[in-house]
Order: sequence, then structure tokens, then C-alpha cells
Amino acid sequence: MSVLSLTKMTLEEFHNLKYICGLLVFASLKSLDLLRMANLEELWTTTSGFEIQGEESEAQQCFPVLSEVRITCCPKLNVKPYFPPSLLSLSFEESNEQLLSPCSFSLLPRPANESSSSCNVQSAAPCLRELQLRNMMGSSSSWELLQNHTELEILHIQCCNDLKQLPDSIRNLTSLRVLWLTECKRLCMLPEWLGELRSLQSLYVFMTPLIDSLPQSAKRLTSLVSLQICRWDKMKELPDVIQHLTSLQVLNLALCPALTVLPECIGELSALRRLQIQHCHALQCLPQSLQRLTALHELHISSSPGLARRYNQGVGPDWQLVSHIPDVRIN
Amino acid sequence: MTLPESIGKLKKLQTLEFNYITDLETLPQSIGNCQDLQSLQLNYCEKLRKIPSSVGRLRKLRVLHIIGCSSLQQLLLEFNGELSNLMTVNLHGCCGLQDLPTTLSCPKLRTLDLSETKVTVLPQWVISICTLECLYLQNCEELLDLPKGIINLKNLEVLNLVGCSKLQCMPSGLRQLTRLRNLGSFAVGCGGDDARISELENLDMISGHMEITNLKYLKDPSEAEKAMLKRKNIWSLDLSWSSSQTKEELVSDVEQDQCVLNALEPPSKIMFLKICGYRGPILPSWMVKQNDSSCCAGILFKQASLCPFFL
Repeated sequence: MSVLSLTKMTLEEFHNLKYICGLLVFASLKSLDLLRMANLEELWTTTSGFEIQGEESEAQQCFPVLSEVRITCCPKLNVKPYFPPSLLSLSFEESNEQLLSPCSFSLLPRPANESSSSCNVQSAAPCLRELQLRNMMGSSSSWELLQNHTELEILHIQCCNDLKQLPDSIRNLTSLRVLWLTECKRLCMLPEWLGELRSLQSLYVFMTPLIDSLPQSAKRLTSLVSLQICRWDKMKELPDVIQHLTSLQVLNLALCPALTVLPECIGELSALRRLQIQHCHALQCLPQSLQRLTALHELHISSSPGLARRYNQGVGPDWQLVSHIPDVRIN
Repeated sequence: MTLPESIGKLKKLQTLEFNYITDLETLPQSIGNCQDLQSLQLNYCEKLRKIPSSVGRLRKLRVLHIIGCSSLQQLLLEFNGELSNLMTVNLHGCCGLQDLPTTLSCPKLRTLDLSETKVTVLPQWVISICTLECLYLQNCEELLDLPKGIINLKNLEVLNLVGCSKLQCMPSGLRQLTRLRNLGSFAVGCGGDDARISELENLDMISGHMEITNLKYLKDPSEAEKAMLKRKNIWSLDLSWSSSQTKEELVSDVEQDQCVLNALEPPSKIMFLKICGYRGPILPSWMVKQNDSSCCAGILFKQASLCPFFL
């Protein structure tokens, strides 16, 4: 069987295909991409895609070792009976929101009200580690799927333009290490429960012009190592709450045109190794407390003329404030 | 940096190699006096614009490598010697290189690497080198055509055409290149003179990665069957109907696509498979359970001997 040794398969632009079903067992397939399948309605992940009396027990997983799935521009697609439990990484772009409903996933223990049409395939609990959601349609709903995936470690939410606030279902993701929020133009604030994501190590919030602060609960993000903020158009000052981020090693501020002040409490970030400031035109000075940051090894300032004048290497009037930092780059 | 003319006095120089000399623009004409030179390598010299014609006098030259020199636009345009010992010419990644010499005599050349250059056609002298074994053309995105005479290069083992996106057909007679082990890409042509896909039938040593493009022009599924992809040692396969999808497609195309894809079953060692632009309403028979003659999701289809019908 030629499909036995397949490890990666991409199916793209099958405009007349409605169903992927009755498949053989793709015993080695690790990665599956379905791209631009405008009319695809169903992907069956078990060999028996329908129920005939007495045959349920024969149903087999078509993709026993599948770990990575990418679904792009498949607006009608649903997965039946559910994604293979071996899945580690899942990426959706411009696709049906239905895919995000809990019934797209098999969970043990099964919910009591499981619909009778589901296949009787035995499966382990899913172990999804990484989820990317990009340009999802109607993304204002709650993305219930997330609350069941407490093992999720990396979550990317990109270009979900109807998203006004983060769905509460993210709150349960206590294993989350990396959270990317990018180009969600209507997202107006980070939720007060953000601090409950206690495993969070990297928080990237890019191109979210309506966000202007971190919630108070952020002080509980004591594992946070990297905080990167880009295009928070309205943020005037960096919130004081960051002083509690005692594990923070990297702080990156870019394109924050209203930012005028960095608080003195930055001096509490004893683990900070790298501070990067780009395109912050209104920022005129750095806090004096920078001198206390003995771990700070890199200071990179670019396209921020106010700062460049003051702290320019060797010649700026306040160069002394940063002269103790081994790697200073100002341009 | 410029080299002194006196370099021509190095009569015993056998190897000259410059790597990453980013301000080197050319070599002095006197290089032609280094009569013992066997290997000339100028790699990643990004300002190198010109190779002096005197290089044509280097009778003992065996290896000429000019790799990744992005400013080089032409090579030895006026050239009339004979590089009778030249075995290897490698111009990989000279991404500005458009023009090759119109005449060049190198009767012992084994390897010519023009990959990632801007060449649009292969000059006639290339197809007269009977010794040529390896012709690398991958990612020559401007290459429009292969000369018909290429089928006379009977020693050719590598004719790598991966990523030659403007190539719309292959010359007929390709089946004669029985030593080919790397082809990389086959574009199904729509003209009467173009190679049929069935010419792959006996090219059983073809291995590695293979792309088949323009499958929309393949009208006869039995030709696809004759291609015998199953028998090749291919581990990565891209099948592409076309990138541009038009709406007014005939129903017959749809059925044809099904039969074509059924016939293009990959070999059992296949690891990577990409299929793009297939218009059939069901998956190929080699992906689905053959005894699944019944329904899926309420839609019935039957499996006929070659073409399944979609009811």
C-alpha cells in the first residue's frame, strides 16, 4: 500500500471534493495539510465513516500517529467523528468554527450526552500541545474546545478581527507556556483572569491597538520570562504591575506611540537581561532604577529619537545611566 | 580589490580560489597566461561582474566554479577556444546570469550546474556535449523551453528541473534518456510535439523528489498508467493540475481527473505527497478501502474497474 509509508500529505484545491471518507489506514502519517478545499464538508478519521449495524467495532483510526494538522480556507469542513487523539499541533485558518467545538475532539471520559452517530473507536485522551487560530470566521463565540485542552502549551490567536475579548475558555489552560495574540484589532483589553495562567513563560501581544494595559492579576505571572508588546497605540505608561514579574528576562516594547514613561519600578525586575525599545517616539527618558538591574546585558533602542539623543553612546547627556550595560545599541 | 596583471606570471599555478571576496569585480586578462591552472573557483563574490575571455585559453582547466556571484550577468560571451579538459562548470546561484556564451567548446564536460540562474534557454552547444552526465537546472524560473536535442544526451543521469515554473512542456523522446536517475519535474505539455507522460514508463531509475505539473492537459488516463510511477524510487511526489482554476470546467474533466489520479499511484516508499488542483469528486482508489463499495455520509458511489462513477 503506497499510503503506508506516507509521513506528510498535502491536499490542496480539490474544488469538487465534499467528503474524505472510507480511507485506508495511513499508518505513518505525521502531518496532514488540507488547503483551500472550498466544498469539503467532512473529514472522516476512522476507516468506517458511517454506522452500519454490527460494524462499529471494526472502525479503525485512519491516522494512528498523526501529530500535526493544518486546515486553511476550508469553510465548510467538519471532522468526524473527531480529530485523532495523537494530535500535538493543530492550525486553523479561515475555516469553519465548528471545528473548534468539543465534539471535534474525543475525550475520555466521554460526555454522557454523546451523540449516537459517533463511532465507537476507543481512544486515549487527546494531548494537543499547540493550537494556532488565524482569521477564524465568527470568532466572537466562546471557542469551547479550549476549556477541555488544559494540556495546551502554545496558543496563537492571529487576525481574529471580531474578537473583542478573550474567551473565558482560555482561563483553564493552566499548562499554557506561550500565548501569542496578534493583529486582533478589536481586542480591547486583556482579561482580569490572565494571572491564572500560572505556567505562562512568554506573552506576545502584537498589533492590538485598543489594548492599553495589563490586568492587576498579571502580578501572579511569576513564570513569565518574556513579555513583548507591539502596537498598543493608547498605552501612555507601562503599568506598575510589571514590577511583580520577577522572572522576566526579556522586555520588548515596540510601536507604542503614546508611551511617555517607563516606571521606576522597572528596577524590581532583577532577572531582566534584555530591554528592547523600538519606535516609541514619545518616550523621552529611561528610569533611574535601570542602574540597579545588574542582570541587564542588552539594551537596544531604535527609532526612538528622544531616547537616542539622551543616551547615545559616550556622547548623550545621560549616557552614564546605561553605560554599565555590556551591550548597548542605539540607532 | 583588484588582482595585479602580474598574476599571469604564475606559470605553475594549478588552483585559484576566491571565496567571499565581496569587492572583487573581475579578473585581469592575464589570467589566461596561467597555463597550468586546473581549478578556478570564485564563490560568493557578490560584485563579480565579468569573467575575462582569456579564461578560454586555459587548456588544462578542469573545474570552473562561479557560485553565488549575484552580479554576474554574462559568462564568456565572446569565446572561441576549446576548453578541452573542462569537466565541471558550476554557476549555481548566480541569480543575475542571463546569457551563456553562444558558442563554447568543452567536449569532456560532465557536469553543468545552472541552477538558480536567470537563463531562459539552453544554447545549442550544451546539447552537443555527448559526455554530459549531470545538468542541474533547478529553480531556473525564467527557463522557457528545453531544446529538442536534449534527448541526444544519452549519458545524462541528472536533469534536475525542480522549480522551473515557466517550463510548460518536455521534448518528446525523453524516454531515450534511460540513464536518468533524477528528473525532478515533468510538465505535461498540450502540444502534439510534447513528450507524453507515458515516456516515463521505462525511466525506472528516476528517484528522489518528483513534480508533475499541468496535469490538466492530460487527456488520456491510460498514459498516466503507463508512466508507472509505482515502479520508481520516488519518495516525494507533487502532483499539480494547475494553479489557476477557472469556473467553466467541463464535467468530462472531472471524470478524467479521477481516472488520471487513480493511475498515478505513487510507489510504496513514498513519504511526502502533495496533490493540488484535482477536480474529481472522490479520492483516488489507492487512498480508500477498495471493498468500501457502499456509502459515505449518505452519498453513494460504486467502484467500476478503472473509473468509479459518481452517482
